[in-house]
Amino acid sequence: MEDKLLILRFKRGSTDALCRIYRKYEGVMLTVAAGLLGDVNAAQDAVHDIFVAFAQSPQRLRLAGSLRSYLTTCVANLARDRLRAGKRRAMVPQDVEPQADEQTMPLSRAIRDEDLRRLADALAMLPYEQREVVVLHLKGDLTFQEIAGIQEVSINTAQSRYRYGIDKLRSLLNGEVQE
Amino acid sequence: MKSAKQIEQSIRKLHIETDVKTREQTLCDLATVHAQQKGKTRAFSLLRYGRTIMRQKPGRTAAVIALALLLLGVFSLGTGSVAFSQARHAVNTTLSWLEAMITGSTDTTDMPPALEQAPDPSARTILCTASFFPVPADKQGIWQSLKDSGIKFVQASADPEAYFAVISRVQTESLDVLQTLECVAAPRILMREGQTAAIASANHQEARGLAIGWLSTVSDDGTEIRSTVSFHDGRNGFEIPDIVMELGGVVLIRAKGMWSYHDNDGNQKESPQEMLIQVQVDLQQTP
Repeated sequence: MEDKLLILRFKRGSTDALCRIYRKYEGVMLTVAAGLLGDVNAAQDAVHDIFVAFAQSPQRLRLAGSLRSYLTTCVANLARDRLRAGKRRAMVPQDVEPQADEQTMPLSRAIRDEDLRRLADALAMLPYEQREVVVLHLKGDLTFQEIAGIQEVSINTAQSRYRYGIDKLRSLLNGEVQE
Repeated sequence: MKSAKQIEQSIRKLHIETDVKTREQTLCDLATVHAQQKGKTRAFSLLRYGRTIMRQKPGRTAAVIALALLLLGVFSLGTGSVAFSQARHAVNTTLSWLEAMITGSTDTTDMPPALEQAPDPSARTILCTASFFPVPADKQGIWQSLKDSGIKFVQASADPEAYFAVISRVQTESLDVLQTLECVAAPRILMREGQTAAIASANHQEARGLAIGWLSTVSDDGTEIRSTVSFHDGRNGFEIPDIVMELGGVVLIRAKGMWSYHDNDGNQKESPQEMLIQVQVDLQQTP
């Protein structure tokens, strides 16, 4: 309800509504983007760019679902585009050597809690499709149907990817041997 | 040993924040981009009037302050939320027009123009009714009666002094105490969800009146309406933001000192008029 009012005010030209939307969702979007891109700095760029594009097109905005779903979907699409374009690469520990490049900052480095750090590292080791489903579902609150739409797969495939992703995370965090 | 459930909970807890500098920079960029964007779209605004249905109860003579609740129009007030400046704009514009009509300095009955953005076709239509009950000194017991009915008023504004209470559909049955008051006017207005609209009423004896502005939206399940309501009498005003009420629910507003009270000879009395306003919103059913 609050989101709907914010959107209506934003569409009617309220900059205050735009800023309130940003403040409300930038944390979630940043976490989702960092989870997908594996890099906090790249995630900040992505969130910035999404909101700038959002601010430029209020009249074209047509929400089918919630504002949170809409913004999370924007993050997912942009993350995919950027990864595909090779502009930004996810930090995947097993196949990327630690870099001295100060422009990148893995998600785990932005987290203080030791358990959550390990989780972030484990998350980064998942195949992208599985990581995407896990992050979008648990952090972005997207339904499997919405995620299936983003990934252009069936809902069963999205659910399977989620189960595989969670199983792999469990194995990694519990120190089990991966096949 | 972590279970799948624990892992899911941990991922939900995962959260990072943008640093303050980046956040401020982004907010600054957004404000700039949005200002540029607004400049482009303003040219596409359209002229349009809304529709108002006005009903005035008989028995009120013109000699009384005559809130001859003339239908002065529905104003879509451009951009932004319902705000003092917009309500003031509504009342000032309509009062100027009314004054010109009374004095004969204009020969047109056209309403003053108001700017409006293109309506959103998916927006639902909301019916708002505002009933005005002056509360004279000998009827002050109404407040205790309402309190006894379990209706509690919350302060909405200190200057001017105003209070409001949100009443559920069931509680509206206890509003029969309002029958002891005289309703001087009960205008109704049809407005689109998300549309800023206002009604202005005027005293024909002097260039004074009041304007009420609304901005309402309906919840996704269609059970609640959230409204921001503004009042202005051309000199004072107040706003009640984000009132949430169920369909058919009512908001009672007690406003003091916004409207001066005149006797039958047109003389202003010492104490300012107190007004009880009943605002009801409901979805307009489409066939």
